[in-house]
Amino acid sequence: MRITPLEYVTADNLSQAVELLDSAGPQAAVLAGGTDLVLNLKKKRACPCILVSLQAIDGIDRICLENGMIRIGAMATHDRLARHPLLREKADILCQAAGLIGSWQIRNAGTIGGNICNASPAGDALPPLLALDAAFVTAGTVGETVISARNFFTGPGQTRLPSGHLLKEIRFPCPPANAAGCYMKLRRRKAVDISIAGVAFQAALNEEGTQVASAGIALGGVAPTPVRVPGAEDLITGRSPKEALENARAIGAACVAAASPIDDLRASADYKRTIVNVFAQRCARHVLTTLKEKGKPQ
Amino acid sequence: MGNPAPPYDVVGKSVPQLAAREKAAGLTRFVTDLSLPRMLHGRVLRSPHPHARILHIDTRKAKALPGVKAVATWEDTPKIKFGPRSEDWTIFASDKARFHGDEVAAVAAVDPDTAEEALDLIRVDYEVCPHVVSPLAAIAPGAPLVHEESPGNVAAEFNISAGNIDQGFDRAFAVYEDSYYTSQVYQAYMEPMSVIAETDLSGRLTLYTGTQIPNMMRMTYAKALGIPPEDIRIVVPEYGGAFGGKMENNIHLVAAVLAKKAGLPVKLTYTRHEDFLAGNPRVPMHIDIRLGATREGILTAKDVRVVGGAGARLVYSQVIVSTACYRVDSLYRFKNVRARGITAYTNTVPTACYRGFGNSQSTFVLESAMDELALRLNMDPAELRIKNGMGAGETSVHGWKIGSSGLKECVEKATDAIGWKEKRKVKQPLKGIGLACCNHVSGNRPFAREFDGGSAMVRVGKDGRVMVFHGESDMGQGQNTTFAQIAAETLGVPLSRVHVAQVDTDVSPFGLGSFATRGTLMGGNGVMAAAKKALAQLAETAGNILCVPPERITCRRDMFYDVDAPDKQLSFGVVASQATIARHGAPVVGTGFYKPPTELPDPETKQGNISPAYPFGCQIAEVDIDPDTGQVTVTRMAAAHDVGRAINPMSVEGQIQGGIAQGLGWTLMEDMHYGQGRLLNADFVDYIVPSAFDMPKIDAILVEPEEPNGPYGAKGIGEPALNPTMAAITNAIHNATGVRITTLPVNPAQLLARMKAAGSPGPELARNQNDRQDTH
Ligand SMILES: Cc1cc2nc3c(=O)[nH]c(=O)nc-3n(C[C@H](O)[C@H](O)[C@H](O)COP(=O)(O)OP(=O)(O)OC[C@H]3O[C@@H](n4cnc5c(N)ncnc54)[C@H](O)[C@@H]3O)c2cc1C
Repeated sequence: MRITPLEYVTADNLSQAVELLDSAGPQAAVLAGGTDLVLNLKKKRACPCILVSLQAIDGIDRICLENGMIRIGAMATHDRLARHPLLREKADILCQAAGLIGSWQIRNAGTIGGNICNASPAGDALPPLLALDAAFVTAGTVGETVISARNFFTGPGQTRLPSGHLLKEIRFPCPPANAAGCYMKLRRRKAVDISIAGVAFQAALNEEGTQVASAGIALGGVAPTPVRVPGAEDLITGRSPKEALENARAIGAACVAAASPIDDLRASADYKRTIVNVFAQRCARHVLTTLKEKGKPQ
Repeated sequence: MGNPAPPYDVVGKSVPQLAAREKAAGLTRFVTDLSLPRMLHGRVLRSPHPHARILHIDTRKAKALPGVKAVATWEDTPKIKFGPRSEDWTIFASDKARFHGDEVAAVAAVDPDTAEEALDLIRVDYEVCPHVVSPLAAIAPGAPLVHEESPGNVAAEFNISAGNIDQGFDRAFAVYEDSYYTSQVYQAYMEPMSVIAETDLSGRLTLYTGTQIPNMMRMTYAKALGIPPEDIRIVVPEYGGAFGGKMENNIHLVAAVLAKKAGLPVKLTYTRHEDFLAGNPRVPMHIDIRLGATREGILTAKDVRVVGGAGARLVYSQVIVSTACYRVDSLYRFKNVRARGITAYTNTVPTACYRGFGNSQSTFVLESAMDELALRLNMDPAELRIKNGMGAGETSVHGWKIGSSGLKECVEKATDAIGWKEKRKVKQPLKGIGLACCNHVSGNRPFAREFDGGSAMVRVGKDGRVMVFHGESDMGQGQNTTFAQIAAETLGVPLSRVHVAQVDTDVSPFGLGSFATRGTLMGGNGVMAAAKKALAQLAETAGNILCVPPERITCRRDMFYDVDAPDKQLSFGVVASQATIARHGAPVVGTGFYKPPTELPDPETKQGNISPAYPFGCQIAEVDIDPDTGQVTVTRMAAAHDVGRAINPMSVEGQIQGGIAQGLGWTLMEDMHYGQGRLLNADFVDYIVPSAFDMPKIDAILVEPEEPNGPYGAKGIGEPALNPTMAAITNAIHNATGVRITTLPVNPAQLLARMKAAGSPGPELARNQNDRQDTH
């Protein structure tokens, strides 16, 4: 219950934040929305000496499209992601995932950066980001690094965030107009529940609208980190949506093969595999049917 | 002076609860909001083991921490064994810790942080013992003993029979038999348990706490502390829910021991985690049932075996198991019944009352069995219930006298409201509709000890303000509002005149408290009797002023008048003022009580009318099943309840909504999971209760036969609101899938596997269901 006394600093700007992080080293922790961190402080799973809040930094929650890249500031809240017009139009899969996180209160406080850096295998924003081929821009005193979402996560709560760095921004290539995406999560009730298994499915047609040119399929909650499923993507790319749809069962099977769930309180490993199979096929049907419509000559 | 007759002015009207505005504005002071000058904060050190011998406790470092004012263990207690209905409790574990969460030591310090820090400084040497969690495993030969004095872990046994069971089954055309299990579930009230304890210089203890049974609790605690009951005062502020969970609990005694030792007030509030670990959750039960009926659907016999898990000490589980053995027998016209109940000690948190009190467990089982019989008889399940249902004027197999019964009307109204006949006829794939009935009591003679009625004091001040004093307990269910309505109607004044005093055992009548769905009937009758007494005194004053004999005086809409000359009037305020003046300041006080026409059951035959009135109900659920995931969505419910006259219909509807929410949670998600004897989901991350989005649309239907023993014809609703929900949903699941659910809660993975095995539709992915999830 009790939070061990610590120093609390509200950084005015990014360089002050990274300097504080750099000088305090592993003793420092970044505070974003606090919806994960404060609980961890209370349970003593995290015992930093100094908390650096990013709340007051200008512009670190910006969402925009620049040079074909969608850029999302790490401090953008889930609620903003879920409703943002640009994202709704271009990358709805992320809006769907953000909208399924927690409750109104949690979505108003929790940030995408926190979701990423907390690196829970069940984090809802993570599979869509993998599926969108996102990259994470981190900032430190000596400059920025860019790490792809696929390589960022190394285990539950573990990431390749360089020490002394903070996550500044998320970027991904803006999906074309003839793209579609779907995110589904297994919940025990219809709101405010951690994902027990999640499937993200993003695909885009070629310019002619005849074939699937690219696909990103990723799973959450069924491995130590979110995972991409190239084996399932291969069953779609280079095919017409109609042909790809015929592979629905195989897509499900490929996703199951990529999952390595464990038995826990929330569900058995077996059931999680069943769900991955079912949701992968449902996502496939939803996305490929949408693409079929989009591919039709107007 | 006549009784008010319908149409009533206040009774039967939907009014918001008296406390609603304050609560909505965040102004209500709940127990957790209270503080006293120089108050200390307590924290409890709990056993991390489900079963362990305590070899040594070293508290020296904790005592030395600055800010710590008291550290207590069993050594600091009177070392008396006690319990509400047993002698297996101690304040703090003495020789052994018997469950994960058992109280081992406690600290009082100047602030919660220091208290918590001190806990880390207490060293306890344990010798871990083998443990047992499942009630069936506990009574199996060779199981570890929770209490050495109780061989086989049998804490209590209960046997009941009436008629001749063998003959009954001989006459049966169809017999259904199966084994059921209902999980240990947590009440999830909004405010965790909390208390402030203080001792004065004479040693007299005051507890400020949310409790359903202020007076009965006082008797138990007097024994535990080795002091007379009059040396304990209990004050009940507003508190955030209980649902059966807030009766005796060591929290109060730990706080009392700390307060005495420290010589200062001590506040002890459970964290949510602790409330899971050391509250009083529902008794988990294994129930085997055999049920028979003739070809025409007349029930011939019922045979039941109940094994309930008490946890590590008896709170009320033994009474709950016996209730599970026989209360439901008065739902139908049974002639031959038998039940055997065993209450088993286990190494879990002590289990106790939760809305339904054992009747909900057995209603789930009986009402599942009724559907199975209907299937075998090829009969409409609704018809089977109507055929056997108890009606007004009948006496049940255990001698219960049913004064009023709206059971048949409940079934008819619920089936009509939801379109039962058509929906059962035209079966849609993966959709199902199911029905269940229930009965309950409004008070329970054998549970209460010396008496079972209710009482109140009604005080009318010189200012005309009416104050109702009662000794029951409003835990948020709206009891105070109901009492105020009854008092207002009886006195003939508007509701705004009437106020209800906080329960304080120094001032309030000796009420038994809120349990057994008794508040409205027992407490309400007490209030009505007291209000009549006050009214008589006022009528005398009014009569003196108007020069009319008091028998001719009555009061309605705030005016006293002569019934023979209604224009001879005096306002209530004037009469109240004049009455007080005439008595040189003494207020008008009416004290009244209600003695119910109940009987203590015969110890041998258990025959006897245990309650003055019996509510009934029927709920119908519609479900959608996801054929690929096994997930169940309840899409709609109709709930018709016989509540006698609803004093406050809005409040009754609220009870129905809430009962269904808790029943739905139990059916589809709630379970306390143990691993290696430890409670694994002692938080709301993994103990899932339904959210608003999980709730179906509910048609709450009030069936209001006038109950002859009820105040203004009312009986209770609290517990019946939940009792039928589980079976209504699982009967709907059966209707949708052909799978009979025998274990609560429903596990989607198992449902899916059983659907596949039974060849139910799916798991084909041909449908377009659930393509997208809703965002909430
Ligand atoms: C009731 C409840 C329900 C929830 N439901 C869900 C759910 O459905 N799905 C889900 O995915 N999550 C859920 N969560 C978890 C949580 O809300 C999310 O993970 C959220 O996105 C965390 O973001 P935050 O801004 O609150 O992070 P914080 O708690 O502030 O930080 C989390 C971690 O990330 C680090 N961090 C944060 N920002 C940065 C940064 N920019 N650079 C470097 N490090 C950083 C912090 O130091 C900390 O270690 C729930 C939490 C609660 C309390």
